[in-house]
Amino acid sequence: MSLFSPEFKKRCQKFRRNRKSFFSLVFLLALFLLTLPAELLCNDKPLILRIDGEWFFPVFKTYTYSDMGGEHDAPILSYRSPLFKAFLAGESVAVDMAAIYRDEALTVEEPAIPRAAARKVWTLYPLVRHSYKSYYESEILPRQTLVCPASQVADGQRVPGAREEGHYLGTDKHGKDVLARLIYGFRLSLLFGLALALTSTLIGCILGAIQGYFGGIVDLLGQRATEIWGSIPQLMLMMMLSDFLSRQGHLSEGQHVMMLFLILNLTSWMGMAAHMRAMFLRARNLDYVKAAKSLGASNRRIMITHILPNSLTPIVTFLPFAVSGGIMALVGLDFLGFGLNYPTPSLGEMLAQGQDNIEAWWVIVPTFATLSTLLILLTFVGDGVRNAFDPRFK
Amino acid sequence: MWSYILKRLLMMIPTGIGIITVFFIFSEIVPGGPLDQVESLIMDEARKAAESGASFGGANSQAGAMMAIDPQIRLQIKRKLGLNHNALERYLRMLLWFSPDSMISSQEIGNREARKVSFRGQKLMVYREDDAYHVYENSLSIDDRDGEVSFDAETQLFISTLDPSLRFSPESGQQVDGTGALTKVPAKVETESFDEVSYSESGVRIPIKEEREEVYPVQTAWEAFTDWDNWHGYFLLKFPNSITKNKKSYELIAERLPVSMRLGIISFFLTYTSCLLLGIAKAVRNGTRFDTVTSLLVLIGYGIPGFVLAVLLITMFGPSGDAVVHLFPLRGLHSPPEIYNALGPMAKLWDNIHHLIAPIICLTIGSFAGLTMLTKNSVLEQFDQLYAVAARARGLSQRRVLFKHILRNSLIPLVTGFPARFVMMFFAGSLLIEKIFSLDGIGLLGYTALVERDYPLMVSNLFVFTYIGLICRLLSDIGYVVVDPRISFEEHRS
Repeated sequence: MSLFSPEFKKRCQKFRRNRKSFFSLVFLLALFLLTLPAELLCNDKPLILRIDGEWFFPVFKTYTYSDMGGEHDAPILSYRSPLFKAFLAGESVAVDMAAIYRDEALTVEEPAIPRAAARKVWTLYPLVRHSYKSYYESEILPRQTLVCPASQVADGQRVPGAREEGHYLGTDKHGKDVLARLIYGFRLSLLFGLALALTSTLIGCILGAIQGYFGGIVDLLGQRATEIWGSIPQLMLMMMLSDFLSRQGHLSEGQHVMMLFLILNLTSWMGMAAHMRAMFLRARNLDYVKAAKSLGASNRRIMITHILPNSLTPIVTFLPFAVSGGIMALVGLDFLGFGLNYPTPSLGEMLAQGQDNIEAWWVIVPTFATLSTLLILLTFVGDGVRNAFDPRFK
Repeated sequence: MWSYILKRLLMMIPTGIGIITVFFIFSEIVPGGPLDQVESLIMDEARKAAESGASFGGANSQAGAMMAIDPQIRLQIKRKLGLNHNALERYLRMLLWFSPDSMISSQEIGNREARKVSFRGQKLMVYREDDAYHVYENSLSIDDRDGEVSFDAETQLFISTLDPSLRFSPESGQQVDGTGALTKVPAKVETESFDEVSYSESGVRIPIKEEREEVYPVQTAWEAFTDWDNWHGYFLLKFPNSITKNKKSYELIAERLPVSMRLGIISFFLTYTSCLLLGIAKAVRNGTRFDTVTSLLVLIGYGIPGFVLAVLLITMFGPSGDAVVHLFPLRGLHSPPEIYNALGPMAKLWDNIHHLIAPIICLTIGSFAGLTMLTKNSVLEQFDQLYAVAARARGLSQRRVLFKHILRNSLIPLVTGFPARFVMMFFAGSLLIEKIFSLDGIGLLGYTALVERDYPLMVSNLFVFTYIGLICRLLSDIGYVVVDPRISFEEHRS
């Protein structure tokens, strides 16, 4: 296909020669691949758990107490609760089922009957022993939510720093691990931006191509519709639709992300559509299109196999900026509080927390660093792509 | 050319209609509109009052659950929000509509009960006597004796209970003292049907039609037609009052404009001058270390979103106790008035600049990249043109060629965008940055209107700024033709 024409290869080589942009791309891809399995990096469940010679993989599967030789069929919700620790120590604790679900430390009513000697347990935890939503009532740091990673001296007394608990960057105001939220948030932002860029490019291409190719009244109406739709504030649509949808019942985390994605798609295609419209408007009067037309090719065929391969430049140059635009839209909405719901890891929400808690530098500085690194890398990549592909930059 | 401009201007009309239509559909479909907002506000207040009453009364704890808004008050709220009309009329009232507004509903007046009302900015007194409605206007022309009317004792009593400053002579019944002379306004009563909403026990809305009498000023057809107050619609630039702020929408916009303009103008001149200088310098030293380093810096600036930087600046360098260095103040355009007013002129100037530094950095950081690169590329393009080569061949110095010959031609693409960008900078408020630095600009106005569901203010904002944007785009298109006659608008036609 013409996608990999010699011209295209030449331009790719030109991109590779641009060291700044090429290394940015490599770095970005490395970060992306590193954070993609975020569950293996930051999780409150052990990666591998070996009890009396049997292997368990809690990250990948939800086990019940009976799976591990217990009596109850209740799922193990936390692997670090006193309840589970007591279970591992070989105590058959008299528990009521409700307490297991609440995952509480128990006041043991009957004396615990030591069934056997403590079990042989070997665990392998991920690098960060917290996930983006894990929060333990029963650990040492409860209720002391915003915790600095470094040890602090307050009133002459040493306050334990969060690092001792495995919070390498401290915790946020809900007591959740900052590093875990950053890693999960980075992954979500990048995936969200990529997906939004792809879909909005697709929508923009289709609408722009139809407008530009047919011209005349189609173009006129399309232009007016775009103008109208573009002047309605995105935030207004957002607020009203999310208001409307939240009345339909509770949305799960994934559904909420999907909904946000769909709503942002409503407006994000406009830039691409304007570019494609201009390309098709110019191309439709060129000789090769006229030739194809006179040979009796259908409109669809002309648009897809003739004009589109010749109009790839704006698509390719637009894409990196569309990704960063999508990320910025998500971050902005989250920052204002109209984006993702709380437990979902979101960089914008962290930013808002940083502003609300001015003293919490361990929230704002890493968030800023993550976000600006991501966006600067994308900008470098975009700049390189534009220099390589845009004929105006020689 | 002129026909093209006319065509573009005419095209703006359907855009405006479209915006209002889309907005209207949204506001009709989506629940939680202004009426709900106001009602829940009133209910919350009443509930609070009931709870505080219950704390020492104890007996009426049931009252909170049984509460409902007095229909008379609901009616007043709806009149204020313009929701007393049916959907079609509400829609047309936003576009273009002619009808005299009633001064008051007869139900609100009640039997033999006088009311003081405000109608189109004038204070009126209305009361009902049998089937006749009496409307008095408190006119301000005291010297104009013709305007005076005499009253019987009962009417005098009514009026003086409404406005104690008015006194009447016991014999003639004429006004002898008061702030203004009372003039009788001829009024008529008409029956109109209105859309009302009632709530069933389960809380479901039931739309019902209701009829009530409304008091109108008497006008001849011509008088009514020529009375500007009888015309409505955004296309006549008649913007309704804001709900939450109880002010004219354009007054609110005008109030906020100086803040946005100050930020806009400063950042505009800052970016334009520095981008021009930097772009020219980069073109002259193309390929040197200076060029690559500045390119990198400008791109990094483009990459960092302004509002993200703003949050960092305010936490790290703001006034809080945990900041690294105290460089920037927290909020507003200047210090609180009690401090600000005591300062000398130079200190005042510094205070203003001090408050503007951080917002300006955040506003402009992203806008250097595009303009600098544009300048650089257009200067570079001209370098190899024949006339430049010829000038150099004539033995002119590099500097002279650059400033006398190349610069003039390479600035064309920059100059064409100038007027549109300038106007846009005036009105372009940045919501996020205004919010972070607590600047009362236009971006924040639109945002609060949206959050508080202040629909009239929201639509006014939308309407005004959409048209400013459209006109700017037209201006910049015209700019291209004026500067470069090779461009023709008729190109698209073929």
